[in-house]
Amino acid sequence: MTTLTKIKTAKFFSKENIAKAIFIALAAFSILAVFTIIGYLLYASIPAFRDIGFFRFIFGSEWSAKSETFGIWRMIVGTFFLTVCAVLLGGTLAVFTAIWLVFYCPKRLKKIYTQIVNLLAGIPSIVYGLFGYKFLMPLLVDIFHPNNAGFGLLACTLILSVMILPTITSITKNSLEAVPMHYYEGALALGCSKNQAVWKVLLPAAKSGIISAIILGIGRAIGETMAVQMIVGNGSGYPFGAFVPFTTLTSNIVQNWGYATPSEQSALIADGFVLLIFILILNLCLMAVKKDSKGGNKFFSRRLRESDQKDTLKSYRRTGSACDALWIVSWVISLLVAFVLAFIVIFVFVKGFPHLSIDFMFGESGNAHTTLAPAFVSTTMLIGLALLLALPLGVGAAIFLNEYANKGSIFVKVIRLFVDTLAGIPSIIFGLFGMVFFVIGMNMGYSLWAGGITLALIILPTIIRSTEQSLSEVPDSMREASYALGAGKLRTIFVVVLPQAITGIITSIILSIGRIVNESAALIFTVGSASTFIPQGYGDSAASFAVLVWKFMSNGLQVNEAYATASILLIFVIILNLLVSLMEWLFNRRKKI
Amino acid sequence: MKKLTKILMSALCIAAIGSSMAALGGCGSKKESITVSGSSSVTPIMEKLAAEYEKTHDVRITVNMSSSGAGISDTQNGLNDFGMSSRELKSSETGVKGYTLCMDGIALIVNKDCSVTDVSKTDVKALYESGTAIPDTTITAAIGRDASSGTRTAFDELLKIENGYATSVATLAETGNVIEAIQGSTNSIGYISYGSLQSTVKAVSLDGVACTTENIMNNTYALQRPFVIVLKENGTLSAAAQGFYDYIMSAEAQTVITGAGYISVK
Repeated sequence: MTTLTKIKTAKFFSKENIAKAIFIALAAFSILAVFTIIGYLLYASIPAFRDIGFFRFIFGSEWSAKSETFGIWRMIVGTFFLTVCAVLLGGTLAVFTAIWLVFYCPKRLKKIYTQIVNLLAGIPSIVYGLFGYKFLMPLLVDIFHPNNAGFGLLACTLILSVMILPTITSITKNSLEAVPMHYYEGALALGCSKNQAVWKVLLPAAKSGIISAIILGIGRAIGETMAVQMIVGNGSGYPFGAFVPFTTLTSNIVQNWGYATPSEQSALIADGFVLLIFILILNLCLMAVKKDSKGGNKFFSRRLRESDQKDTLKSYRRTGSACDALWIVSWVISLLVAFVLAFIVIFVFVKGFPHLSIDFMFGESGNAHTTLAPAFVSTTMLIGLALLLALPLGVGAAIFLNEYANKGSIFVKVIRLFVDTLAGIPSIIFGLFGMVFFVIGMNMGYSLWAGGITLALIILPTIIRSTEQSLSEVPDSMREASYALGAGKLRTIFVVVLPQAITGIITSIILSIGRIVNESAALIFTVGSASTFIPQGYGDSAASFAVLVWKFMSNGLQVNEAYATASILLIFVIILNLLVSLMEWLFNRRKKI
Repeated sequence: MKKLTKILMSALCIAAIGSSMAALGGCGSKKESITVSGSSSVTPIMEKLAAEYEKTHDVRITVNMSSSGAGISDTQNGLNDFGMSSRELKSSETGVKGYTLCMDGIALIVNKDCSVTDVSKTDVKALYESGTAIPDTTITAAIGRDASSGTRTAFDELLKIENGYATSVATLAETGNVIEAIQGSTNSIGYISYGSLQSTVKAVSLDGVACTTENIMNNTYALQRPFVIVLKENGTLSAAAQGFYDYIMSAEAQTVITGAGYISVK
């Protein structure tokens, strides 16, 4: 070997290159994860498609384990109807709320109201289910005297529209804030009143953002599981009528999974696969919409700022036009949303707090007396394992995307697409995947291992995005200064860039913890629901708080405990939300310095 | 400021690592553990039996509540020590064998404010099958259980409901959901395990026969089914599981079972 090649090989296997390769691998992991999920679910549902026949499976309307006929047309129609209703109602409410929040909200209330929206997003699905089941359904029965206990389209639509509202609101809010100020100023200069400018100029300008918000809302609605399966009634009819129990794609999976004859199991996985295909199609639509929105505004960089609003807030000139009516409607709707949140939280607290005791929270748990002590341990263990796996993966991927990748290259676009796809997959699909891949396929059994790994996949996109965002906010001058002082790329990243982005990473950790605390559908399928003992290792089955609420509700004897556990969950969610705000405050403060 | 974030970060890291280490460390000193899974109807009595057994034996019994179907398939797949079913095993469920733990009635329940006290078999059947309201009563809606429920299978078999429920019937996943739905609705009827019956709802009599322990025992109350313990056909139980199995099948356990409102078969 000549000296020259020696040097070359040495260079090729240098620390920098190895690190780069590792970062690329970490970034490519999301692609691998999405393909594994799609591929494995397809593989596991092939028997169903083969035995039943693809068209008979999609368009058949009977689901009966007895005669081994499985058709999901009923569930597709159910999901479709419910999604349309929920998105119509929830989308309308959300867009009005976002407009109010951006343009009409008094400045002092703005931060508080943003918190309210975030909190609505943070309330676990299972708590919405509890609220719907114990409060909304009896209320609807009192009002409408339907021919059943309140199950059906109306109750589901109401609950689901509140659940998807925060998603749509926050994205609509972002896109409204991104509309250039010139539009607004131009409209005022042409003699529009503030209301006219808002409804006729700014709202249409944010159109593509609102459309992508609604698509994301649709995705959320289609995938929603635990709350829906409680309220939908799972009847064998079509949802034609406000109080007819029907079945959705997700509730079908949760209801029937227990009946695990292999042929029905495969049919249920196929059901999940169809759901996944819908989600993937939605993701592609989203990509198309986003691509569209990139035209237009590149010359006008000035965005709406708070100071602008202060100056223009008083510039009302009521004209008696429809826009003024819309202004009033937006006030009413946003007050209503705040009221709903307050009501849900207070309802759960009032029902739950009287049953909270030190003994119920931390006392020794056994078959005779279940306490929350095991849930504290198992939730912590799940958080620990999921973060341990997802944090290196996510931060590594973000480092690649922001520090190494050539922005705009196809590889980066593909990775982004797959990260977004992963973020859009509903938790029930992760649950099914975890069940067939980890629990059965890899022989883990119902265990914290299986649950933790599944959760790591669920939180990965959150960590990647949030970290990437904060990395991109580190000014390039700091990197240049580091290079100028002779530091290598790797050293620059770890010593200069990452410490600057630490607030973003911590925020992503907090968001991930929130997601884990909220999760129930995926965990029931992977960790089981054993709640009586403190788990002694990752091989044990266990129940986190959210699963425990479900379990307490399900056995019918412990509704009070369900409320008590739910109020603890809500306290967690509130604390996590406050922590996120704290991090943002720290970050902004540092930016000013 | 920087210090604060550093402290926060390291605290988080330590918490994460600490918790996982503690959990992994815990593996060493493991008590003998038994996993039982299946029917949500059997779960309450199994938890009581487990609590009794743990008083005298140093084991951990984990009762995983799902449904009869899941309990049986868990046993087939080796995911538990033994399964619980609230119906007889079907001939299609191979590789497992069942042993009757006790008998249980299926109580028809209505809201406490509902004036109905008695219903007939044919009326109930018509309500579930075709959605016809029970004549001369306020009961117009029915609540059932999901297909994997042993209570439903037994109920359908006993009432000879063969072609599924009418579209107006809601099917719920667990016993508790039925109780809660009935609590919120005065015009509905539902069915649950007799042992899970509580004062928040009211049981109605069927064809004039009240749903009581005596009537179930002397076979006059028509809706009853066995609670079945599901074992692997060719497997052997671990020593700990065998001990617990022997206990629940003993005369001593039967006193716990009858005390909880179920009917002994011994």
